[in-house]
Amino acid sequence: MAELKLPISHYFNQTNGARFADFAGWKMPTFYTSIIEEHKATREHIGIFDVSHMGRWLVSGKESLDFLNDLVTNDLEALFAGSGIYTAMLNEEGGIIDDLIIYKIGDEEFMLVNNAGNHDIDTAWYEKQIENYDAEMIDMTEVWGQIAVQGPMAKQVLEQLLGIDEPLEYFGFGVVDCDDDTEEPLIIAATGYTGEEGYELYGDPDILMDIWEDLIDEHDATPCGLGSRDLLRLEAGYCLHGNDIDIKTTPYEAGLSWVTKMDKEDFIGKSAATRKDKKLIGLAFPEGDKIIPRSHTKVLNEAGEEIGEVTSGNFSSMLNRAIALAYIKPEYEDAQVKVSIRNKESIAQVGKPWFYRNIGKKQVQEFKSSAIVS
Amino acid sequence: MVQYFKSHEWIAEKGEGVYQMGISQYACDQLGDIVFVEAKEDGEVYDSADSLAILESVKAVGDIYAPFKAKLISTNKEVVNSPEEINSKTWIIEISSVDGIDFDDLDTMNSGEYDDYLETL
Repeated sequence: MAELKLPISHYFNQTNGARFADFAGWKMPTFYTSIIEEHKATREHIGIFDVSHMGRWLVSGKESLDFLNDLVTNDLEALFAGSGIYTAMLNEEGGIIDDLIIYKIGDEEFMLVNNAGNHDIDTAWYEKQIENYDAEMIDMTEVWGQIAVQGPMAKQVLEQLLGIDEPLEYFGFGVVDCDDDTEEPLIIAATGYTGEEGYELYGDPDILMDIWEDLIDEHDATPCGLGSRDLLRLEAGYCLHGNDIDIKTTPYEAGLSWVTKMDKEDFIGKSAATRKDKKLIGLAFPEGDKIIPRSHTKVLNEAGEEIGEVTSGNFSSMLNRAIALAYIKPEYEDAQVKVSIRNKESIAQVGKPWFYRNIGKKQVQEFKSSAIVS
Repeated sequence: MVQYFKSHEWIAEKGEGVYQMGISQYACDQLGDIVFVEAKEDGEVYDSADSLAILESVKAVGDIYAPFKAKLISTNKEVVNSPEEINSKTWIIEISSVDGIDFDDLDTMNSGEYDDYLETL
């Protein structure tokens, strides 16, 4: 077995009680003290996450815009320097190879971030597609680190710490001036994967770990592992590639039509991107029902027939009940939906595929009882 | 005296044929935050290796299995009401043996042996 790669916080993790898991070839912390405590800290104050396992790329060249715009579903033409977008990257059959964030640095320079679990597949795909363009990609994954600082106090504290006068808008990004000896820039982006406001920082690992320590020591930030990150993103309804989206899923099935610009001249997979054989929904289970519908739990209609499958599920402490993302066949959209776990049935309330977000304002989706099929 | 199973439950003799069961520190650590406990019905008899209680955490699900044909006497109400408080010292269920067992004959380990066993995992 190949040796696991180490994220930039590894020394900190070893000396601060982290529990580890092998995630996509990286030795990642799953939690330090408790998933629920780390989740709470992020919802109420500041959680910090080492996400240096994510893939980071610099894309440049005369045709870098054309290359990227053909590669992904969202439209980069409209993007201005200093902002980023979320997008899907499809294969020819419309299946989602990965979901990405692309930031525009300048007219011929972009930063692209992909999922750790897809890094090798993505790399091969980029290499294949870039051949016809005057553009190049440099893999910065093991040069730069990446940390996410998330929570209601995250932006304010980080702005103060880094001397940022103007808060960045959602998906805005820029380079921070900092007095240090490193040649690497410190990049800050107003993005995240928690449903809270905050920033993600990219740059020299030592600089990032100095900020990490400072946030903990001086600003009561809580180091968080992948466990709480998964719970936070599920509540926010952010898809996890490999669970909620994959190569067999189109963006229209996954509720990602908003990042799929069908009026764009072309992009790989466009002709199949609107195929919709299933639909991603949110399920909320009654308070007090002692079940957690985990990935691959079958979703049933009233008659007990299988109509879909859970892709992510957990217990939400924000909603005080079990929640799940699931795919169902589109014709069952208004049907009563239930799951059966350990021979016990639980009838779900059906809604959009998100539950809780606090970006700009606090939003909790109100789930209604699913329609009773007569 | 507390004895441990390879499946990371512990069992202790309470007296008069009643045994208490809980989970080891290792199991607590593996599960992380437990969000609920659901035990089978009190007073019923269960076969050896049947699941007597389920501990569901945000990370995973764990079971407490019947170590022998057992009657489930009671479930610790405090644990059901505050599952987040479960630790390796908390008893979760009380059982009695249906066929009568010799505690010393159970396939268990003492705490030193269990620590050695954990080293092998």
